[in-house]
Amino acid sequence: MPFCSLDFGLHFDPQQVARVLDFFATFILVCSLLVLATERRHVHVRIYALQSLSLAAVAFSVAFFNCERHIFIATALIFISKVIVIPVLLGRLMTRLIPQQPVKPMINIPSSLLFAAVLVLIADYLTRNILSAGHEFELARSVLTDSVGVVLLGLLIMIARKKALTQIIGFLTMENGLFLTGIAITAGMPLIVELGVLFDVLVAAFLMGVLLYRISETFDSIDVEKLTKLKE
Amino acid sequence: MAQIYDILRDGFSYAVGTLQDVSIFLILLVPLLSAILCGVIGKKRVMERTSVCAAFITALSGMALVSRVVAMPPGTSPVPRLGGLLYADALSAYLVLIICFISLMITLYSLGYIGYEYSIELFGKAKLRQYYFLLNLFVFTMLLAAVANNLGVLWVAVEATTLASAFLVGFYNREESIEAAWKYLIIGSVGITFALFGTVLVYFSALSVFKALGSPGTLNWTDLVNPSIATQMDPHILKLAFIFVLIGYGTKAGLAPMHTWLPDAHSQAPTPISALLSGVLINAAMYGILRFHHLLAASPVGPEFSSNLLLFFGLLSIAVATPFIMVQKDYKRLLAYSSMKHMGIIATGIGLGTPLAIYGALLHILNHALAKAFIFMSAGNLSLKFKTKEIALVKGIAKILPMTSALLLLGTFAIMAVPPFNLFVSEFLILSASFLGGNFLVGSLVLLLVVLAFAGFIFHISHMILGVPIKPLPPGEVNPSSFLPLSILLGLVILLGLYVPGPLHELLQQATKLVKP
Amino acid sequence: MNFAEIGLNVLVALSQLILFLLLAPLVTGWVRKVKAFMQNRSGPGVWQPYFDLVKLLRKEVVVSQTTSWIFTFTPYLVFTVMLAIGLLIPFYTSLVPLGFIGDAIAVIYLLALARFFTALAGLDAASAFGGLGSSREMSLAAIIEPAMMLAIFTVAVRAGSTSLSTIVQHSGAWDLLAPPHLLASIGFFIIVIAETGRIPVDNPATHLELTMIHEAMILEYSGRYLALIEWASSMKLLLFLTLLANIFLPGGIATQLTFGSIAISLGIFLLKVLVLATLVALVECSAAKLRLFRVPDLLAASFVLSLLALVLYFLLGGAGHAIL
Repeated sequence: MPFCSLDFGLHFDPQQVARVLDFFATFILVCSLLVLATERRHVHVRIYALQSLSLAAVAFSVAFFNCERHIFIATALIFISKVIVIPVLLGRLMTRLIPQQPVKPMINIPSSLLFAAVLVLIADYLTRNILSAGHEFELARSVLTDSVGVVLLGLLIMIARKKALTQIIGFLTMENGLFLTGIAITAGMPLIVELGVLFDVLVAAFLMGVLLYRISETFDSIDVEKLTKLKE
Repeated sequence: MAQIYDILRDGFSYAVGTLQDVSIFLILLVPLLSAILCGVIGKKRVMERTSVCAAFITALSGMALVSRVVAMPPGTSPVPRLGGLLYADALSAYLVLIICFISLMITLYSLGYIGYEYSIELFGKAKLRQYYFLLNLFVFTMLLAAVANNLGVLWVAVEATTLASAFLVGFYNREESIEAAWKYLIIGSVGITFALFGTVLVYFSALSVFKALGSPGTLNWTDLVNPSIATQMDPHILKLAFIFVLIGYGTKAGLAPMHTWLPDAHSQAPTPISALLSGVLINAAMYGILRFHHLLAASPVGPEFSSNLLLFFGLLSIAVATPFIMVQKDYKRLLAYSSMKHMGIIATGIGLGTPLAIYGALLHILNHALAKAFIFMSAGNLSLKFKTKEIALVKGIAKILPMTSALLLLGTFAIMAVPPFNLFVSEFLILSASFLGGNFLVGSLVLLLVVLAFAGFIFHISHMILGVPIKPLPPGEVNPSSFLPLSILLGLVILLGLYVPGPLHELLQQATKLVKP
Repeated sequence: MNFAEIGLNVLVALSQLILFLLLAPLVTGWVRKVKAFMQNRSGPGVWQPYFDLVKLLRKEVVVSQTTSWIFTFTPYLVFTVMLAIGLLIPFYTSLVPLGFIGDAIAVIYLLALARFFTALAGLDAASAFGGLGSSREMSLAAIIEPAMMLAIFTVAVRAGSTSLSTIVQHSGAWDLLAPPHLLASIGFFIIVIAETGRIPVDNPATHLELTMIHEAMILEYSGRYLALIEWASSMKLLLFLTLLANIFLPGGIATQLTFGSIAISLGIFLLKVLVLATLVALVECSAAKLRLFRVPDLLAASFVLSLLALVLYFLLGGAGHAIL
């Protein structure tokens, strides 16, 4: 079993721990902004890996500083699945897809960044009531707003970029936002739930990848705009 | 002689008791094992027999579970299994009953339907194996959702239903079906993500209460609704959580405006799967909402907040679905939109909040599942013969498929809630509850929309049944084995239209109390 | 306040002004030298900008006949504005010589004034390039200015004042690794790159019509006018590096007017400016010039980062949502 801070006889000031968490949580938020600010899909996958790494860092910090030992398992699983397996899968998928000219995004980059700013403000508004109610927060306060922001930005990524691969990235970003909430504000969900959710996400990403490959084979494109057969 | 009889009777009651005890495990294990067996073996006959046997055993265990739950004295709560992870009360037993029964019918129907398509080499052996594997897995995930006590496990199960059924939706690998599968997977997964967020928020608000009481945090529903916990939770967080949960599970339940995947997926999937999606899956998602609805009602938020939201989304769904029913060009999409309309009616019934309305809404879930499976199966026979889903290309079914056309007509009347069919009873209950409760606006609105949808529906179906066939097709059924499940379903649809059997009534009454304490 | 103190203050102000004037070309020279080094060239010496200025000041002036008074007025105005800003921001003491006149917002507006006249002068000669440069400059400014304001507001709300002197006095105790501060710093760094016309936004070393922004506007200038404008852009570079060094990387600044503390503070200040100038040069060497239509993407990113910083500041326990 890995060791946490108390095993070494170390005691950390909770405020300092909160600072570390704030730092990584903000980085996760900035990563979602970066996805919105770029157009190249291999960059998106790398940013996603970086974001997941930051998430793993949050999980590790919670496990280490707060001595929530079961989160060490979650940390390891997040690292394996989100930092290694999913990015590698997506990377291999990209080499098989038909090379594409960058398609003009639905919403151009400056406007999508401005939308992103609005969404962060909305996240702030949604969580303000909860924050001001004066709960005892397990860990960092701002992480709740950060994670709502990440979830909303993930949704924006899916709407603003009509490329199938980017939609997968958007979905995975939302999922990261959720994990951030789960780990940081409640010091981890019950382990069985964490495991189930991670497994589901892994399978979902895998299925989306397979389906994406089929789309590319069938439509000669992964532009979701071309999926227009079904409408009224 | 009498001694032998006694021994036999004791043995029988002992066997029944044991079956009741382990039924909650059986309904999960049997479909899972059957899925694995189908995945490993892959021979057509073996897979068919395994699936039918598994569905039959699951249905029996489901009955055993229901009998155990009904027999429990009122006021006692059933014992959760597996460290509190699994649990069955009247509401989950009711859902288990629906899932087990409809999936048994669907499995029986699949033999003929999928067997016919396999025999005309529409797809290969690998696909057939995929079909039976995923079908069993899909049933397993829905049953897991029904008996999950932990709200996190509930989420995992509902997300797993999407994952198990996405490839069934894209089964035919055509452009349309891949598009439908993509939409289904993406919209379903994203929607459900919101539900997880809501679940995390509920856990967050419960955690501080648990901490204050000195017990470890848990997501077990039975613990959360415990008055000592529920009444202490923060209303702000719960409200936000319920909104997220409603968006999340509402997406899977096909509530407008998150319904856009539904007509695509339900029309592109193989017909048995369409019936399962329309008849059962969306109910499982609605079940998730009901659990949170109860939680909110037991908390300081009170039942009004979630009831009003459900009422709003229910009415919106009916209002959105009705025009699409009227102008529809594809008969499977027609049925899909009708599912959406019925989900709207169910949500409205729950939202009205009187015991009568909730009873009606719960009954409506079962009635809709039966009638929708019935009409989807008849439509499936149609599509096998005509090889098209376009209403304009199908004419004169009465001449080519007399039996199917009769069933389709009966199904149409059933699904449009004409007496003496079962949906009439439940819809009547909901409407009368809304008028009795003084919600004249809601009641008249629902009534108006239902009548409009009826006109549209009967218009399309009558054009298909009557008239002269466009292409001369040789008369004769292609899927005769389907008449077994079809006749069972028809019998039940009429039976439940005439009266509600005692045990079912008991179960429904208990479930009604569980929706709103 | 006795005469000695007043005298000291005047002395500080004068020394700051002279330092600002004289140091500015050196910073430009240093950036060029680092770039040359990175590109494996020997390049001109760091004193080359001074020689250039002297040469230009001696040269004959050619002014197009079609221009109005704005064309000849602009170089003086731009130069004076930069000098004035030099007295509005703290360099090596937290004392701001003209602090009673204006705060951070005044600085932003003075910069806008200089920009406005430069753009007018670009249009004045009616050459195709001038107009092109002016229109590009003004369209980018529409995003740069709000982004710059937001970045400065982030630190201003922390200090509770928009006075640069107050901000600098408070800044010593700040946590530089706090997310809002980091985000605002990155946002402001992008602004520095954009405002001083550096790669990837603009390239100060080229006269290629596709890429020019600032250079296009001043293409018609020659002789002492050009010298003034070039000197003013050097000062602008130093000015932004100073803001970055003192507001976003605070520490080591003298808050008392004693000889020792000023000497130490001056040393630290020079070091910070040198490091930041090197950083700017490194960015210039490692980035490719963005297409003009992609520049707003970068600036929007800066804007959003600053906005995020502001939101996060309040979340992390700021003084309520007063400003939003």
